[in-house]
Amino acid sequence: MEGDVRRVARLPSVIQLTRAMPLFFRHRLAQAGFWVLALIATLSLFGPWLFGNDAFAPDASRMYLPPSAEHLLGTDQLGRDLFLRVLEGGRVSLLTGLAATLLATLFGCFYGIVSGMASGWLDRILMGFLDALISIPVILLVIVSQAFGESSLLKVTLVIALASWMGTARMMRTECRTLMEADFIKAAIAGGASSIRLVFRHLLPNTLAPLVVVVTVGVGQSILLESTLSFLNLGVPATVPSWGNLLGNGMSSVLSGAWWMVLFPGLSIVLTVLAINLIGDGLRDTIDPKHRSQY
Amino acid sequence: MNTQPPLLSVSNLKSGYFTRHGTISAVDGVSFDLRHGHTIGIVGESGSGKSTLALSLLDLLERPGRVVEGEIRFAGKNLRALDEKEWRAVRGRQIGMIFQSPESSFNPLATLGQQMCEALMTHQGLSRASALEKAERALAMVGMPRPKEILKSHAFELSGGMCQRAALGLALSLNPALLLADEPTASLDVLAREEMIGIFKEMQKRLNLSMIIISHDVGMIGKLAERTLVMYAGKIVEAGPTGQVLGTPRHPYTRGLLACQPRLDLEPQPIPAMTGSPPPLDKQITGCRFAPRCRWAGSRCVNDEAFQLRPVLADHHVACVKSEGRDDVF
Repeated sequence: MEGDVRRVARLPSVIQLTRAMPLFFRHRLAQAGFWVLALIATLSLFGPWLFGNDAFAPDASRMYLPPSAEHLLGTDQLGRDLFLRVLEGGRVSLLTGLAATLLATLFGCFYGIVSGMASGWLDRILMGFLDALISIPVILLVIVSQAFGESSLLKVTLVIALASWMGTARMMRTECRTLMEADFIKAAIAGGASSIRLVFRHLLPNTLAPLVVVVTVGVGQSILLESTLSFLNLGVPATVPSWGNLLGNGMSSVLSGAWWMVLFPGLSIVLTVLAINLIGDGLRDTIDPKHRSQY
Repeated sequence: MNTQPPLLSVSNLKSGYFTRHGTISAVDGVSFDLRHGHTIGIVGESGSGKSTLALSLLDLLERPGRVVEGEIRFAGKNLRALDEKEWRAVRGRQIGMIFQSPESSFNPLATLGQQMCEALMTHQGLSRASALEKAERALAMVGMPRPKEILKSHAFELSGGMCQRAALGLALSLNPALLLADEPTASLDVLAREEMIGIFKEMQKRLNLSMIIISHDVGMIGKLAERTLVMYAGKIVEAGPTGQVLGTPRHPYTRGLLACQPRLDLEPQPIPAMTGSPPPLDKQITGCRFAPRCRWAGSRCVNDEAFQLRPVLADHHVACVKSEGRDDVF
C-alpha cells in the first residue's frame, strides 16, 4: 500500500537536491567548473605544505624572472615566487569570499524570514529599508568603512558581507511568503506550532534548494568584490597577498615587461569565478525542472 | 432537557477580509451551539463563508482577514480574549483541525512519525519513545495498516486516503475536545471517502468526539452530523436537525443545493444546477441575499428582515419569508 507513490507538484528541497546530484554530474559545464574549483581550492589550501612556504621570502638575485621550469609563473619585483604567491592569494581570496558569503547568508536569511513571516506593516518597512540599502553604491560603503580603523581581513569580510546580503534576504522573503500559504504550514499552525518551530522545522528546510544556488553564486561575487577592493587598495592590507593585491601590485610592473605578474593573478580570479558560476548554473538547471531542457 | 452548557457556543460571529478595494464580509453574524459529543455539519457552495468560519474559530485567518465581532465560547473560555501564546495551547491540544488536501498538510521533508512525535512531545510533554508509541496507537486507531512502517514514511509516499487518515490520527492523538474538519473528503476518491466516513463514525462512537464538519458533500453530512447548518453569502440560511434539513428542506437554497447532488439510485437525468452565483460580499445587501437566484422571490424578499433566521419548527430555523407558518409553500 505504501508503494502508492504519488508525484507532488513541488518536490521537497532535500529530495530535490539529492535527485539533482546525479543530474548535476551529467551537466558538463558544471562538472568542469566543479573540478577546476576543486583543483584551485586544494592547491590554495594545501599549497604551503606541498611546495614550501617561500611566498614571503624576497631574493634580490631572482627579480622579474619570466615563467620557467624553476618558477612556474615567474617571480615578482622582490624575487618572490609568483606561483606560491598566487596560491597564498587564493587562500586569502577564497576564505574571505566564503566567510563573507556565510555572514551575508546568515543575516540575509534572518532578515528575509522575518519579513516573509510578518505580513503587513513590518514586511513593508523591512522591504522598503532593503530597497533603500540596495541603492547605496558599494564603493560608498567601502569609503565610509575606511573611517573605522586600519584595513584588515576581518573588516574587508564585514564590508563584503554588508554589501551582499540583500539578494539573499529578498529571495528568502519571497520563498517564505509562498511557503506560508502552503497547507502544511497552516496545518502546523493549527496544530499549535510556535514561530521558532515553523522557521527551523518547516521554512528553512524547504528553502534549501534555492538557497544553495544563491549562496554558490554569492561566493563568486564576493571573491570578485574582494579582488576589486584589494586592487583599488581599499581591501585587504597590502602585505597580505590576495589575488586583488597581486593584480594591483603587478599593474606597475607590467610596464617594464613583467606581464606574468598581471596575467596569472587575473587568470586565477577569472577561472575561479567562472567555475563557481558554472556550478551555480548547473545547480539551478538541475534543481529547477523548468531549466532542465536547456542542456 | 440537557442542562449542560454547550462545548462551543458561537454568537453573532463576523469575519471579513479588509482589502484595498473594500471589506468583504465573508462571515456575517453567525451563531450556533455545539453540544458535547455532537457533530455539526456546515454545507454551502464555494464562497459561502464556511471555510472562513472554520478558520475564524481557531483564529487562523490570515491578513487581510480578521474576526471583527461576536463571541466564541469554548469549554467556558472566551476564545476571542486569548493572546497568541494561549492560542497555541488551544490549537491542536483542545481543538484539532484537519484540512482538505491531506498530502500537502504534512511537511514534505519530515516523516509522519517525526511530525506526530513532535506534536505529542510539545503538547503533552512526552518522551520520544512514548510519543512514538502513542503515535503508533493513534494510527492503528484510525485503521491504518502497519502503523510502524507508516510512521517512517513521508507524506508523498502515501495515497491521499492514507494521508487523510494520518492527519486524523495526528489530530486525535492529542485528545482534542473538538475536531474541525474542513472538506475532509473533498480530494478523496469514492472508496477513500466511504472509508473516511466510516472512520469518523467509529471515532464518534469510541471517543465521544465532538466535530464540526465543513463540506459540500451532503451525503457525508447526512451520515455524520446531528445538526446541519446551511450557509449562503456569509449567513446561515437554514439550521436544524440533519434529518429535517436534508430531508424536508425549507429554504429554497437548501433545496437547490440538494437538487444538484447526483443520485445513483434514480434514473440518469440532467442535474438541475442552480443558475447564477453567490452575490459579491463587499457591498451592503438589503433583503434576501438569495433572492436574485430564487425562483420564488417576491416583493417581500427585499425587506431587511427577509434574510433573518426564524423558527419554523421547535429546533429548525430558516431565513426565508415563505417558510413562515406553513409547511409547504413551494
